[in-house]
Amino acid sequence: MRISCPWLRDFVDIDILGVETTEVADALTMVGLKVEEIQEFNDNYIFDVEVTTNRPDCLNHLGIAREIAAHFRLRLKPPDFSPPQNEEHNATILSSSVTIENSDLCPRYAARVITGIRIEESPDWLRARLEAVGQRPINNIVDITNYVMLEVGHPLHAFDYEKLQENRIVVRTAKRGESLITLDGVQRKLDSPMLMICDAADVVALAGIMGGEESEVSEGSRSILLESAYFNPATVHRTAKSLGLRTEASFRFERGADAEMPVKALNRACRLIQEIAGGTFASPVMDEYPNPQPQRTLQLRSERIRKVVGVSVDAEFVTDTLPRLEFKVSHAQEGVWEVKVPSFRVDIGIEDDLVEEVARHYGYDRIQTTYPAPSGIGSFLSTHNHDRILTRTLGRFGFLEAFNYVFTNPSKETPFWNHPPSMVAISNPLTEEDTHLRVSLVPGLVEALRRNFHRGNKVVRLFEFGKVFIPSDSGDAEDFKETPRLALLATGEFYQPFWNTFRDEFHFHHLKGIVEVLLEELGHQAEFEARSDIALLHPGIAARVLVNGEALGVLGQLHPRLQETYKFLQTVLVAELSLDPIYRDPLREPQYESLGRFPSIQRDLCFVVDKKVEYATMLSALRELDIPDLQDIQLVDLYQGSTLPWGKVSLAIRLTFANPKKTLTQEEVNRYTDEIFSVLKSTFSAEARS
Amino acid sequence: MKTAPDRVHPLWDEFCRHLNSVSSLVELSDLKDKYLGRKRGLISLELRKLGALSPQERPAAGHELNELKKRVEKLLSQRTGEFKEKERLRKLEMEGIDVTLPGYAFAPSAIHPLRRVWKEMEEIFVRMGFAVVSGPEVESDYYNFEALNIPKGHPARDDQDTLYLSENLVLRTHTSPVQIRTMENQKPPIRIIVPGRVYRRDAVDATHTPMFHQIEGLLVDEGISLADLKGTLEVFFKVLFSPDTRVRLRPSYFPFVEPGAELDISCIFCAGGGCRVCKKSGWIEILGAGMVHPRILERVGYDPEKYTGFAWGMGIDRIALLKYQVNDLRLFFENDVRFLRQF
Ligand SMILES: [Zn+2]
Repeated sequence: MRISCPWLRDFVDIDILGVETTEVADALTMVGLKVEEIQEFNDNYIFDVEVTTNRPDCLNHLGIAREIAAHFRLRLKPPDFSPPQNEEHNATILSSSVTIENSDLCPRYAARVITGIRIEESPDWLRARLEAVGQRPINNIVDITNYVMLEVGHPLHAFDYEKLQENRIVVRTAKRGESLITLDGVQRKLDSPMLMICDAADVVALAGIMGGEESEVSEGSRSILLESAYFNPATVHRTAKSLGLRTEASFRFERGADAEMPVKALNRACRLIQEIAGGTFASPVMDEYPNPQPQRTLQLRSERIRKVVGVSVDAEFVTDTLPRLEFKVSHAQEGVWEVKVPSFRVDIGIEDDLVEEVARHYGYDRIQTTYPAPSGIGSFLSTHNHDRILTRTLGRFGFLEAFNYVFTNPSKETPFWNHPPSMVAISNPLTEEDTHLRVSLVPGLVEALRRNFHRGNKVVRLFEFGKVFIPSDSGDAEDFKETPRLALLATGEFYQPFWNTFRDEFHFHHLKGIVEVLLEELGHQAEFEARSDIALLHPGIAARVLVNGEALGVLGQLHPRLQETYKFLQTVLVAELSLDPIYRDPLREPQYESLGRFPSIQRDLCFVVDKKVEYATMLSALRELDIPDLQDIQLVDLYQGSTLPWGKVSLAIRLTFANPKKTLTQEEVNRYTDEIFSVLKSTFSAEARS
Repeated sequence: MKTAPDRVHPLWDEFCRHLNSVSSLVELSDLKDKYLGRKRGLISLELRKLGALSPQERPAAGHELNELKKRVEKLLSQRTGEFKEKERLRKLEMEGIDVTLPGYAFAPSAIHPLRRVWKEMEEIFVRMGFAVVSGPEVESDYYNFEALNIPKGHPARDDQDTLYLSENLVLRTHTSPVQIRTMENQKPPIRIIVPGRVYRRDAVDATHTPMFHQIEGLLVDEGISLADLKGTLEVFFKVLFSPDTRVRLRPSYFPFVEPGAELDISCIFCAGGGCRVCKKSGWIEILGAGMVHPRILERVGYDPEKYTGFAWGMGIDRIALLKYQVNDLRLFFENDVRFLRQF
């Protein structure tokens, strides 16, 4: 809201303070009307005031002046709201009437007919004032209605009296099929709950929002009907929203205008019209107000102020401040006041609202800080340590944390799943890009990778924690699961560029090792199962990750199809894990296991085996032998090259034997080793290699 | 009394001459053999000759020879030490490397700047006795609006342009719904913070993103006042930014608090003197807060005459911008590794 300092001076003598303009602005800020900016306009200062939605009474100069006057303890000089002079001398009487059909939507409607006016350009002073606050001057009548609105906050509207059928006003809801061309030249289709201003036959204005083009005051107008009404905030809001039409008038009505202002504002406008546009009053003030709104009365206890604000405010301060804001205060009993709320303060409904009135003029900055007594022990989420361990572990491997939007769309997702996935839709998306909620974190990370490649970043390791939104099979739009996941993406050189190391591309088994460590850090042993049916992964380089037989997620190389779609020149590894099963298990304290006093013995076994034999199958066959002294089996070498027969692979495994009670003999260890090799030989046709 | 003649044995001079021409440990060892070798050593031969001397001559000559032997041995061992030291130095010199070659560049790790400031804020509040709680990102209209005094048609709904999934479901526009969920299930005292993701129907630009992060706070107990709110958040910001950070409360409006307030901190860039960031005001607007609205306390079954409380909501993204001097919110969601590595 733009507020001009010269205009404020009409109502409050700020010059008497002898302070800088910035000090006045600061005072406004500190009573809750934040001055965002002070602008200079034709040698005058304009405040850009941020008025919170609860204070429609401050969307005008008088309201702002009232706050300044109260703060600086100055006298407020409101404009003259009394009826214009000499009205009884006006002989011409034009017939008119006002009928309200929906008094719940339009509790009050006041109007007056004025004839013999001259429609012309407004005088310079009026144009200057409007221009200073960003209002474009149009003609004297329209300018006066705008002026009164910016001055005292009440929107007015002037109709061309002669364009109104039967010269009368009917306030009613629209009938189906009715329409109106509004002042902005747009044809508006109307519907039944919308409140309209009509003449005897047709709609002439959208109540509280905008007038119609047909009844607009124009150069040829000789008589006008000036409307000053009070409309129900909800109805104006609803209509303005459904028509997508916001105006200065609707903005004020939907926040709440002053039901006691219509006649005062009408008088103020009539005085200005008389002075500027001439004319004579051709009707009395028609004021339809079937159910006058009762004045609200609230109780205010000084104890409540102390309790809520935390300071004891003098009784004199309360009884001096509230009347300056036009509350009527009377003493009810010791420490209790009865407070009558002015009609323009639509925000005041309970005692604590009055507490705020006192506090904001006392000054929030004068409140001495105190500290609440301790209550309860601070604690993190139960998942805090899980996340911390995962993040720390990923950090060890050079992964950086990514944050992606949860939004996606079917065309973005389709390449990942080979078909458009079932997703939760946003019913009012802002863009065509962001229409649905993600079902996986992988597409977002792949997109982030694309951006990184574009910027020349070739070594990329990202992880992301985030929610995905999985629809149920029921097809019900409100039936879906919001569930947390962790996703990993890695590509490029495995080792950092260095002058003394081998080069290696980040590949499947790197990522697998990382996933194993991640789960091990949380006390889980990961299992892996080859899968060729995961749409986004290479069918031959993909696995499902399991913990205790429960599927946790997937891991593998991004499908070459996607690599082509994204024009990636490097292979990309991804993994995605569900976190709920991980969070379910509380973290356990480590439990010490005896190291054993007796030395362990190691033996290496080298053998050639068919490439098709899965390492995990061999491992579990050896475990099934159930040799208690066999402590560990490690794969120490793998070779598949030209010196081997086609389809064969050479493996070297290191066996570690130990017994907690004795030193194993060479004979025992040899026996075990022979047993192990004979199983490899009989079950997997392994051939020894020296 | 006749003492041993104080003369230098002829072998001494000869030995000294030889010793000076020795240039390696091997030569030194040859020299040792030449004089002290058990069989052919010149001194050993002399010692053996002692037997031929008369008993009167023998002690003096023996003494002289033994002295000579000791001096030769001492010099030899001294010289051996010198040669070994020289050898060691030469070896060390050969082992030397170029320490200015780059160290191995271990892969850097980093957590996201938003996570970093989020966790830092959590830790401060946990130390102040707050419990961290969470809530769903998809909320019902009731918890996101109605229960917070924002009925349909309320202008505050326009301020927070909302992404709807259905008539009844929204992507939460603030973390405040968790206030209600917590109070519904718990009796006072309540002392919680709620960090999390929130959504608005905003187009992406340098200062807006449709997804961002907030930390909600709620403290309800007997005798809680606006002054306590000020004290609590003042301590928080002193820890988060610096001990000389000052806070300022200003009246403001949020439907779920009364009285309502906005909290400014003294500008962390100019210490209040006025700069570009604070638009010359010396203050930076940082969060919205207030006393929990009595109607909300009633709605969850608390007696507003007995209990009062304060609540606040602050943007994690905004604080990250200030703390790390990032000038564009979009950077937080682009995931450029060159950006992420900096945190
Ligand atoms: Zn500054």
